[in-house]
Amino acid sequence: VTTLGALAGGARLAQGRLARRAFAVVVFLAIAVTVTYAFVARHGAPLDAPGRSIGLVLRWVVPLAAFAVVTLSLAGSRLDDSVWSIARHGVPRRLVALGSCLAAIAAAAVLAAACAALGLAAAYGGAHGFGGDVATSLWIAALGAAAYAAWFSLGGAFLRLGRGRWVPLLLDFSLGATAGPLALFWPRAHLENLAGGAAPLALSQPSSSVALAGMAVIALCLAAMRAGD
Amino acid sequence: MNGHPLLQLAAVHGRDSRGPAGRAVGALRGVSVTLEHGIHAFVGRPADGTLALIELVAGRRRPSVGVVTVRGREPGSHAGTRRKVGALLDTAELLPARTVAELVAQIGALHGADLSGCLEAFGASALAARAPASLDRDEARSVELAVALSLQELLVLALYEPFTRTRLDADAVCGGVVAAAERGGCVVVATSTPADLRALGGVPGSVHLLERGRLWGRDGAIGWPPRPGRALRIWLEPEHVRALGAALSGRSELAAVSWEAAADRPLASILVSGGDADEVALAVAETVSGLGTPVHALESEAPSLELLLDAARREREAIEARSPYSPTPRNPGGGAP
Repeated sequence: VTTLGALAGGARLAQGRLARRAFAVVVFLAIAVTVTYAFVARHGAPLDAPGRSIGLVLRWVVPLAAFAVVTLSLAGSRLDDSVWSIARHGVPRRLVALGSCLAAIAAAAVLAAACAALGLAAAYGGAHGFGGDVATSLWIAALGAAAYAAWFSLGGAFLRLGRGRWVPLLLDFSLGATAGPLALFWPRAHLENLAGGAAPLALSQPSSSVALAGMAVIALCLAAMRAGD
Repeated sequence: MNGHPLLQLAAVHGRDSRGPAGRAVGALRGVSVTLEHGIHAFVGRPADGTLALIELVAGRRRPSVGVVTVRGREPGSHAGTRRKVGALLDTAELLPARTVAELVAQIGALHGADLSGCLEAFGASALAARAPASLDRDEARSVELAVALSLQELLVLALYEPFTRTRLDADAVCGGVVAAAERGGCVVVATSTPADLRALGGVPGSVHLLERGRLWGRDGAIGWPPRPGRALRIWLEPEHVRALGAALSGRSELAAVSWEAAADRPLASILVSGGDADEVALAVAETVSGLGTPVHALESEAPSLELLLDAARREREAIEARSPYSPTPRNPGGGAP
């Protein structure tokens, strides 16, 4: 089995698990919450609505949707267990796990980008400025979701049933909301910076983008390594 | 062949993950055993660690302590070794595919083998056109077992309850297991039904008893193979059941007599048991010849798991009593100590 074949097998495994009703429910909830909030915000304060809408997406929808996507792709088990159906035939677990995680990351990123776009569309409601804002927000949401999904995949490689994925979620909500040095390791701090909020350790926005991308790559590699051979 | 044993478990502690919320149903506690080619049966309940044993041998899980090796390499952490291990677990986990036939072809491609006829060989061709997601648990296990028995290059075949909860032809499964052993493979069968093992006789191997995660003994130490005759099943025409059953009930040599006759079956059976194998056989022979009842077949019943455990306990007590380190002082002369 080639490396590409193993990666494709892992991706198909995750794709099969995501092509179920539970994922449709996640997508529906994420979009419904985003769009509803944006409509409410536009009717309350139209000028603030885009900012508040993208704030909701980056602070709540992106991490929770990424968490749900990773949970579904793991099928309720630890990362190394979740790839058994392919790994049992002599395919290295790490490659199958890498393919599975990449598929989950892609799904989370697309969902996050869709939420950001739909949220902004509902918040602007045809007003001027949507085009420029959505172009920026799309990649921020997608990059953030990729970093989150990679973190949760790494967490899912630990503890029974992959319950370790709760650890980065909780640490992100607690430490990532601060502006101290410990916030640097969590996507929330960098997304806040990219959305125009407080920067962790006064980091520039390009640096936060690089940090998110690096986070995604490193967490993904560590998750695959943890899955073993 | 690299000089390492075909399958070795060295001081293995490990558990399965089939309980609620991923908890263990059973676990192995310091199991050490070396197995070469042949059929090696491990008799016990899932709570005794039979499922844990199969998951560890298959590489599904890694032991928490100790090491499981196939020709010197660990299937749990070496993909190439896992490729040489076929397995049937408690629950089948099948590859994503549109149909079972496609799934079988995918597995064949992964192993470089042609598995196109594997479902037909085990009487499961009706499953080929079904979607894997539509299979119930037994059907999914059937596909997994048919594939495992059809792969020719395996070194180790680890099978959990291969004769129950599958929809395959039982004779074909027996034949497949024996064929895998005869190809030089090490077949590990975990079962809670000792009767399953009778069909696998005649192939070199061993029978082990697992209780609460520990190996109690093997073969003679657990009363295997069972002495024939302590429990006998007599197969005969249904119209003779009552007369022979009543006559056998009057024999003092027999401790229990029971019979089964179903309208939809051509033959009925009477099960008799007693304390002494020779006396049971003699009582049956005398009664049958006295009544002139035509008997189709006689077979000795395989011992139950409980009987094996009793035999193992008795053997252990006998060994401990003979030991010079026994806590109970020996008194061979029979007089007062």
